[in-house]
Amino acid sequence: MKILIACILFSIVLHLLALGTLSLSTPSSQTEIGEIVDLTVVSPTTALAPANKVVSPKMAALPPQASPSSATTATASSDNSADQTSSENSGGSESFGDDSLPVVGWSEITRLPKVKREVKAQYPAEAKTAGVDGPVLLEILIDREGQVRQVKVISGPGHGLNESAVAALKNFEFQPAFKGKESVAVKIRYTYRFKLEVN
Amino acid sequence: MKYSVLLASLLVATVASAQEAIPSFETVVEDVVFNTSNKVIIDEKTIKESRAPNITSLLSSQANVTVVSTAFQPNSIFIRGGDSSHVMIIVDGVPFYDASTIQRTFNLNSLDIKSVRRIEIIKGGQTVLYGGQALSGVIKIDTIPQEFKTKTGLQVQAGTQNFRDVTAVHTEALDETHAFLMRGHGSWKDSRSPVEDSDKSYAQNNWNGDAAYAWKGSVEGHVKGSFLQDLNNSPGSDRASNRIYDTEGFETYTRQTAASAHLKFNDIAWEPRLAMSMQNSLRKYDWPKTTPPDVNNPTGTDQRYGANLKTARVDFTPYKGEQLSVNGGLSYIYEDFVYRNKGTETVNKFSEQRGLFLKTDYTWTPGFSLAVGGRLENWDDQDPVSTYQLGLALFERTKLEVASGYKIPSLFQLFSSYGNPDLKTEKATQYSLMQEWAVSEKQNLSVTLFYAEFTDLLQITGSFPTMKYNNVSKSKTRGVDVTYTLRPFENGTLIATYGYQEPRDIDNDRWLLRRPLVNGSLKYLHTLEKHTGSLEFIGAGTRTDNGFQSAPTVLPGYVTTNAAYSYAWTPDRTVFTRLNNLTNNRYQETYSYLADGFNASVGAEFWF
Repeated sequence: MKILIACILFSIVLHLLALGTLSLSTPSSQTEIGEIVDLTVVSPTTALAPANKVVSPKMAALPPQASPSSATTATASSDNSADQTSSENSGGSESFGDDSLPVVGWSEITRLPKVKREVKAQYPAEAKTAGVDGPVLLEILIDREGQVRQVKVISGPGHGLNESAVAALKNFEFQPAFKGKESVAVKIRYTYRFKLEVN
Repeated sequence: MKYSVLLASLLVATVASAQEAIPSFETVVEDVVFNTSNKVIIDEKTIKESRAPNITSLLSSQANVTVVSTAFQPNSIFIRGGDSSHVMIIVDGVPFYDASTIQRTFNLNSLDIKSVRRIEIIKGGQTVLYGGQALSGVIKIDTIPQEFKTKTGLQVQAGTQNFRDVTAVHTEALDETHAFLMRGHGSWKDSRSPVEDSDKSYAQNNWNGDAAYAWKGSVEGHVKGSFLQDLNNSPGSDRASNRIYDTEGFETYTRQTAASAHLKFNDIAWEPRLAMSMQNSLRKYDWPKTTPPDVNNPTGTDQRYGANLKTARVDFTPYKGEQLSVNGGLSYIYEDFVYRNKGTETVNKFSEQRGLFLKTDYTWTPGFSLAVGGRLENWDDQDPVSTYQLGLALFERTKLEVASGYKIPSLFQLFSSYGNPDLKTEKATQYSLMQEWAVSEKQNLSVTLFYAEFTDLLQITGSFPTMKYNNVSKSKTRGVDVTYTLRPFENGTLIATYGYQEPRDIDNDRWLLRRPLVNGSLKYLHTLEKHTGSLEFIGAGTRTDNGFQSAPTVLPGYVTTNAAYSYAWTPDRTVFTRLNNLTNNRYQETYSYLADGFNASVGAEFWF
């Protein structure tokens, strides 16, 4: 009897392993992202450079020549791993799994991404009932074609707002960022703000 | 050392500078909800626009909560027949009260209203989640901001009765998810004597401050330290006639220092939330012997009430799905109480409460849900007390709730000079039915019918000096609570509340003390570009109180009128005025204790 149970368990483990291998080896249907420019961080050198102050904060597009000469080193990184290591977290978001990527400054970007299609989420019933609002801070990865490839929750008030913001961002479309004449994938920080007026 | 500070400042400035340079993108989703007769949320915008002088004033005008003052208890809150001892106050996620007080309460107005981001009032029994103190409701006060932005604010006010008030705030955002928060507040006033026909005034000073470090992310939370203190001159209370009278040199001092931590682990299974707090309280009553000797103070007064409160609570969400969610947790409360009279310690006691709770919410289809909860609480070596809560929501807008509850006697009631160590817990069963009507997008009406039965109600019996607390009576309160909101214009809001209740002391065949049979408020707030104005009426009907020589008496009802106006010169510069009690109605809040008459203030707010 014990041998039978052990065989069944062994068989289950083998099946799970096989399934895992299959899913890992499934080729990505999406196009390769290529170099990712991280627009969520700024190196101290860049921050102190006066040229950076020309960036207008919200959905601004940099003029083509705005790239300062004292630029940080924008290193290219081939990033197939970003697709492969996505995982769910409790906020209903996908993490990039790319923390090991070299940080690339945004100062070489000649045009920031711009929202082409904005999706406004329904205010979640759970949050409305609880009277909760607040900003959901997200990091999103926009590919060279302006598609949102990954969404990660940095912080949020919960009560369904985080999940709602993630779902909305996944349906956003952007005009891609440009580095010179070439579009480039970027990682940006996006604030999806829920405001509830309580009367 | 100097250079270290300079370097640290430079680093902080550098980080802040870097933060500004990061491009940010934003989408805003807006919606509107209406408060109901069961739950009221007062958000930051409303708090600011009301320019209310304190938290209790805001509760009276927005939440249909009656608040009264006496010489020795600065405010008592009455919700649905329960008093302050049946309302749990939670500040930034932890219970907040002075464990040496009769009702496990504290002067809510000692908190600076300008530091408050959000107030949530939940009416009705909430003992399953919050323990015995929440027999009639919960008041949750949040001060930690939702967003971290480096900014400095200053607000100054001056007014009648030599009123001066200063608040300074600074938030140092290290980045979008980490920040230091600091705030200090001072208030000084020479309040008019509450004694009839008196032209005397009493100095009332309040200082408070807090500092916190808050962060967000997969583990989010805050650590916070705070202090508050009140130093007031006070009138006396005549033991024989039960009337208050003017005094010289009678000082009352209250101080509370507190530290708390709140942690939420978002990425761990069951999403554990941990809240811990420590509070130390001191109340001092100093009244030197007078010449000629005062009959109520023949040998002078030198009393010290000290207390510690330590709380810990862990919440879990073992399951959360589309339809079903399960929440549970453990709570622990430690209280101690020391009383010294003229330097001699006569009481030194402590108490522990341990709770275990579980609540399940099931939504079988949108608008239809069932909530079932239970709690088991153990108090010192007493047998565990159990309590339950049932909630049924039908068609989204009909809510039926049944809750049992209990209240553990306070250490004062058990061990003070009037104490009785044999006291049992108060027990209660409450029923409520709320119906909400969304009349239109601009109008909302909600009506709650409620009924509460209390047994073993704790009351003081006998007369001075042989008074003693006892589980003496049984009470029944039935009533109706109504909230109506109308938005006649895009920027105008009218809020009307009305409550009628019959808080009956069955054993003594009379109304419970100090609870009005009728209370209500009417408030209109309008914003026009840079101008914001509000006008509010707050009223209460007759109340029964202990009158002359402690015989029952009926206090007449009252209506007070307040107004506020503010002008936002620029987004960072605002001037405002607040006029309280426009008709100078000096009604009796409690027997022989007159409310403050007309008073006004002007102020300015700056952000840098």
